Amino acid sequence: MSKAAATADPGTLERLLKGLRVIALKRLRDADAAEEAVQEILARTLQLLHDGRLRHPEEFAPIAYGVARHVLADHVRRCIREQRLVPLSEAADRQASASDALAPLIAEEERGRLRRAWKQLSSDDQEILSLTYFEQVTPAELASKLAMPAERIRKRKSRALARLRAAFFKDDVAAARARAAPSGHATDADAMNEVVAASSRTFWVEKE
Amino acid sequence: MKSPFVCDDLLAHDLAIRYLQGQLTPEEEEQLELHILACEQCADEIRFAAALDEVAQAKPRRFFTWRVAGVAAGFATAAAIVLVVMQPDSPSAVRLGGVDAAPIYLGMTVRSDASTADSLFGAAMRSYQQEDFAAAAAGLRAALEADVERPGAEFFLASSLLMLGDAAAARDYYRRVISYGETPYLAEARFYLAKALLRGGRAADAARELWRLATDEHELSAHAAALADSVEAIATR
Repeated sequence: MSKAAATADPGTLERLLKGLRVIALKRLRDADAAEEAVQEILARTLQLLHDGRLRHPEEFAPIAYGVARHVLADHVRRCIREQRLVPLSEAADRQASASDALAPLIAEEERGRLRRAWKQLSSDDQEILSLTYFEQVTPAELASKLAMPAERIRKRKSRALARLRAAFFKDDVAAARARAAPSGHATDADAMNEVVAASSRTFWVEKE
Repeated sequence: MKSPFVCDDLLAHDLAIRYLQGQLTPEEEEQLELHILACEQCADEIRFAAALDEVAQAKPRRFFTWRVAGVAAGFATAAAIVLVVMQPDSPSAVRLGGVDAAPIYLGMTVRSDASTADSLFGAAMRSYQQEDFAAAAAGLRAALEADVERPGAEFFLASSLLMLGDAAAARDYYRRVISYGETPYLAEARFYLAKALLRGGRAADAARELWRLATDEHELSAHAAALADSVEAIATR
């Protein structure tokens, strides 16, 4: 078996970390547990990289995902066992929706821009979004209730979402362009270690 | 690496918010999660959906209710559209989400050559019937990992989580059961999803599920309609 390690550039690793944090927070609903799980997933994946188990760059994400499923399943089982020792009322208080659980991944600036953009929408557009985006009511179903053509509802929804996305991602577009510049690393493992160290420091979004 | 299917459909079919709400099938969820490990744009779309859900929830959601004429006796009827402003965290709505007894499990015949998954399921359901819901939940997750048939296992896992007070996780699993369509668990999943939504203070969402069930011809329809009436009665006080 070839011992050559697959290449993993810093951009690939950063994407992987971002995706892992989304998945871990969504599944575990707890920021501490999610961070612990992400570090464990990265450690195991890094080990596979060192062992030369990855032959092609395309295998990186699927193998990391396989590792993630096992690690996250173990964490969930551990959380359920722990619930046996916690009064039910306290356990209920700890739970968050998946959207709430991803709060640590959202910067205050992003949240503020989005909140302002939401308030600038008309109440009708807010209503249309609430029903078609969050409740999955189809434009056809809504059309008869609002006495408005389905196509117009679709367009209003699409425009409203486009405005909200533009507000939310405003600074990230510039930041993404800046990150696109390549940086040199001696080995792929070094690159991964640097990204992991930097990401651990910045996992918690600083709140004002 | 961009997967045309997932990237394009993420926006076209609102996959990000449906992923967060647990409305994707297990296969869709796996595809999406695998994709976002390699696609920062789609991972960011999920962050956007979560942020929007938070911002939009901060304002009380309005919802439409509609009553259909000609429904069986016991339903209040009128063909009208009513706009109701509901406070999402009404304590009365939360109380309506109380569940005194877990959904009944009627048992299944386990073959002598039962698979590991079936055996795990059987053991988990024995715990469920003894009301040891933490053990039942752990056992059902193990059975699902072993590829037991999903609708039933996920329905009773959702019910175990609901009885443990984890309404948010229960909602996710009830929604998965509903996403499978016509299974023996569909109606009950809708009813108990409504209960879980009420426990989370989401009365408007609960009423929507209850009215969907109320307009089906099912033995739970009358119960669903009665509960929906109670939810709306609180809203209009």
